[in-house]
Amino acid sequence: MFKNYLKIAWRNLVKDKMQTFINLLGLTIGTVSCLCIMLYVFDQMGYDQYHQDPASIFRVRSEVDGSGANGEFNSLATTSPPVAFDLKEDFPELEQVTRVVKVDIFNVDIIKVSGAENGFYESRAYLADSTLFEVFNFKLLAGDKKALNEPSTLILSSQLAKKMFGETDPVNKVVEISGYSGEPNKLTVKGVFDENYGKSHLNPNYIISMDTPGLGAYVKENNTYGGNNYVYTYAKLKKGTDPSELAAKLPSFLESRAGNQLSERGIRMKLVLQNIQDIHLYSKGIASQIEKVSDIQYLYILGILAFFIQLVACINFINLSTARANKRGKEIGIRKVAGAEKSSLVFQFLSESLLLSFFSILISIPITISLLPIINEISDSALTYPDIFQLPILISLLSLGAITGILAGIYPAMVLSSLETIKVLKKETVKGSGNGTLRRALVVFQFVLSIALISIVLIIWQQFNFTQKKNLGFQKQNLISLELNTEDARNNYESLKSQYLNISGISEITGNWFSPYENINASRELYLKGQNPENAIGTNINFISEDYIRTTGVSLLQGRDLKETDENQLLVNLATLKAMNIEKDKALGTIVLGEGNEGPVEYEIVGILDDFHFASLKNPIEPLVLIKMNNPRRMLLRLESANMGAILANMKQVWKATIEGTPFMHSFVDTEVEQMYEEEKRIGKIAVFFTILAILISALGLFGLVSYTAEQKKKEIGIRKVLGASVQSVVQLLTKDFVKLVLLALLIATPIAYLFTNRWLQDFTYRIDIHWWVFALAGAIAMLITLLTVGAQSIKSAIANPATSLRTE
Amino acid sequence: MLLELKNVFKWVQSSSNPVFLLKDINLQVREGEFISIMGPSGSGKSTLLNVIGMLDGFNEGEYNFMHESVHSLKEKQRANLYKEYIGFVFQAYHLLDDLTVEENLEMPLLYKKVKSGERKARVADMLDRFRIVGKKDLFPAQLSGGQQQLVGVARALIGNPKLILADEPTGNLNSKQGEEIMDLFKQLNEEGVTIIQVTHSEKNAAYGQRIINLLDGRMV
Repeated sequence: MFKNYLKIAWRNLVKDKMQTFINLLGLTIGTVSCLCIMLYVFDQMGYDQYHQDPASIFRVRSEVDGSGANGEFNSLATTSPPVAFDLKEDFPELEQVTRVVKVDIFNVDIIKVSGAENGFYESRAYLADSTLFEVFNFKLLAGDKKALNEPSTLILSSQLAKKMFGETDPVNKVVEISGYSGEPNKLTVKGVFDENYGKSHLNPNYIISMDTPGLGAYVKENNTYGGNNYVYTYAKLKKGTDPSELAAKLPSFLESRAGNQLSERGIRMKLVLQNIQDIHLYSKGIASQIEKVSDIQYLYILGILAFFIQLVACINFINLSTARANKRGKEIGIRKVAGAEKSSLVFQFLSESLLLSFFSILISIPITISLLPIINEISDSALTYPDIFQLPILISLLSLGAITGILAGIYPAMVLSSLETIKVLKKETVKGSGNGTLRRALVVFQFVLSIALISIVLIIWQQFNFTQKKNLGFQKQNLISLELNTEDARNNYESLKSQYLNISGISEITGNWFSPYENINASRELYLKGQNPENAIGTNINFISEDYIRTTGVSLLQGRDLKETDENQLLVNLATLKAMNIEKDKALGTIVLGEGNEGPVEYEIVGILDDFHFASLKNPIEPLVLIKMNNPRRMLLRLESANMGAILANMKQVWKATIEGTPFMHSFVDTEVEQMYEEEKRIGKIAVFFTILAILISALGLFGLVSYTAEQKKKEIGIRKVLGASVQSVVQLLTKDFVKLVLLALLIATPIAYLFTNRWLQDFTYRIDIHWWVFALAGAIAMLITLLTVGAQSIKSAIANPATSLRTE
Repeated sequence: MLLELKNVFKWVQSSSNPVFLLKDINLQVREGEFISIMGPSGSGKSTLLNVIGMLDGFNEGEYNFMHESVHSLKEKQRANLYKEYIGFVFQAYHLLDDLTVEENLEMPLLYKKVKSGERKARVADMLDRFRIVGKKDLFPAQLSGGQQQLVGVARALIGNPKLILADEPTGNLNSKQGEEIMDLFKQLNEEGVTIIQVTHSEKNAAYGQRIINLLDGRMV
């Protein structure tokens, strides 16, 4: 019997080619979208599950309010250095703790084989306690778990080991790491780990023993709470320990360990436990993540989008099948008379939709494989085709096929199988078979989705454009930032500067610590002379060299730029004046104080800058002070000529002649600024993708529906034409219903899209206003597509010779 | 007694007055009879046939079929009854266009859950008996009208019905083809199958042993 169903289903699919094509195309597009998103979602899930008993491993993170008053707590992924081992001392229920520090938050160091000429800028350098392996699973390809026990040791990722040592065994070889300052650190390689083993929120390139001079030693010796929040603290609980009980004891732990020092410094602090399996997807709002994390909400949104696309394709199937019930009427009648029960007819029709949905799965697999590069580019992941053939994906895909087939097929099956035998056999027209209202509602739903998506895409695009075009308060075009990450490079700043100024096409040069696209994560508390230090205002601080204003194009409102001889002179922006309650006209010459290493330091305000966007437009412009530094970490160069290639080649040549062992690394400020909005760009791209798909599938469905309507009304059109109807009036007859549906959909879609985009825009301090015309435009686009789809078919039937259509009746 | 209709009325409500399709029909059919129903267009011939075939219901009266009171049966039981005992032949043949001759014959057996082996045997038997073995893999559109109706009759017979209901079985055929079908009916009747046919043609009606004339839904 089942074989029989399949045979009939197949013949029906082959017979009605247009309907099958529309359905198959729609379902395949839907399935491909679902598959791509499934791949991505599975890729984002299951982080940090490969460790031993992952449910018992927690990241201890802190919430800190350093405002002195009752301000807001900042959620941080990190803690102060001593937290980890103090916890271990106080809580016997902890099996082990470990700390990880990312070395290159400020500065990417150069690593090279000792004695070799060339080094590499390698990011993602971690410092870790020797207990790292007792908390986390690492697959060591060389060396053992004692690798980080000794001072001045490190382990390399297999990729880095290969890059540095080729095929030779790196174990016990010595490497040199040149940091921001001081002599290079000599470290011994004690192991190699497989960086592709397991998905983890930790993604080190190399790991240095905490027991190493420099930052590691500083972390080990540091005993203060509340500050230095750059340490990632992990704790593994003993079996049977209830994490919530442990969490409840943390406030008293903080009180006993650091109550005094925190209250003296006016810092409020909390410790929070976060299971490591939650870090990758449930870290929204937690700052200072060690590596990029995702957000479960994105996965939900993507899932919903994929579901909608599939739904739109299912709707096509439902609409076309029920609309064409007439065609199947006779068959249904005969089968019933021959003894078919309703249930067997339902199964027969379901097998048609199931056959179609499973067929679309088969097609979608190779299509998805060929789309992988695009998916990887959009999602910034590294999916490969074996990822598709994982069991969970295949199971999900099969369930998707079954659900799609049933979702699309069950309603038409019910409608078709309950047609009355006698009526269909008597050839009474099964008018509006199925439910015309339902069909219209489903079409409206498709339009709602299309219009909402079009408006959302338009608004995302406008906002993105806004972030790119907005005057940031400095000139980001033709500005190059050059990395002077090593001591050697920084010491040669002046020499480089004078040589570079001789290159034609370079007009201005300055230096700074954070280039304009970099997140300024240095701050200083400042207060007015004569005021209580407790009322100090937190400001962002950046360090600059001479000619900063001329080079960047920041606008100076009063005063002057910093000179080489300046030491405690400040440039401030308007936001700083506002925060410190200084009148603009009286600001010049004002003395402000900040805590230095040896008591308060006096600073004099010598210049006032207009507010400029040194951070993302998502954030408001915060107080910023600029202070002089002679050996900056970045050189900024203003170019005049468009001949970048030649200028860069010249620069490189000068660099090689002046500086040894430090690679030449440059970036274009405008490109880097654009990178700040990478996420928005990606969302925009995905939204465009889905919008096009939704519109395409809906249009296909419309086309099918209108051709059916035209076919059904063939006789009516013939009679009307014989009686003198014009082509135009016939086209109107066929299109006016759809036009009404588009208008209705526009009414429904507008508030939905408005609410959604309005919420999204709240993330930006600087954002566009949502204009009414966006929705009008979206409606117009939908209307245009509808008219094109429906119109072509309508005109075709309207100009047909009535004689032929009437004769066949 | 194969079936009996007692005081059967059927009407549809149009605006205020009911329009009667069947009025006070009293009919007894014995096993082995061959009955022709005649009457002008709209006199209720097809309606009566559909009521007998249980494809259509009625509003008043009693209908007993093989000692079952059809009027008190539920939809599903009624369907089971006609599947078991009645075969239908239509004026427009009503073969399934997507199925071959062989598959068309097999279809009712599938719904009766007849086992594969027996199905094959019965289909082969029927193809043989109607001398259409050579056409078994053709689709209905590849057959002439007479051949299609031959398949239609074969399909009606394949479930071994006691009663065959034929609604103008020769209406779409030329006279020669029509005659062949009527001869076939006659032969089937002689083998013991009860036949009720609706027809416009006096000549065809004459094949039956009894003629029922209808006018405006009433037997005359």
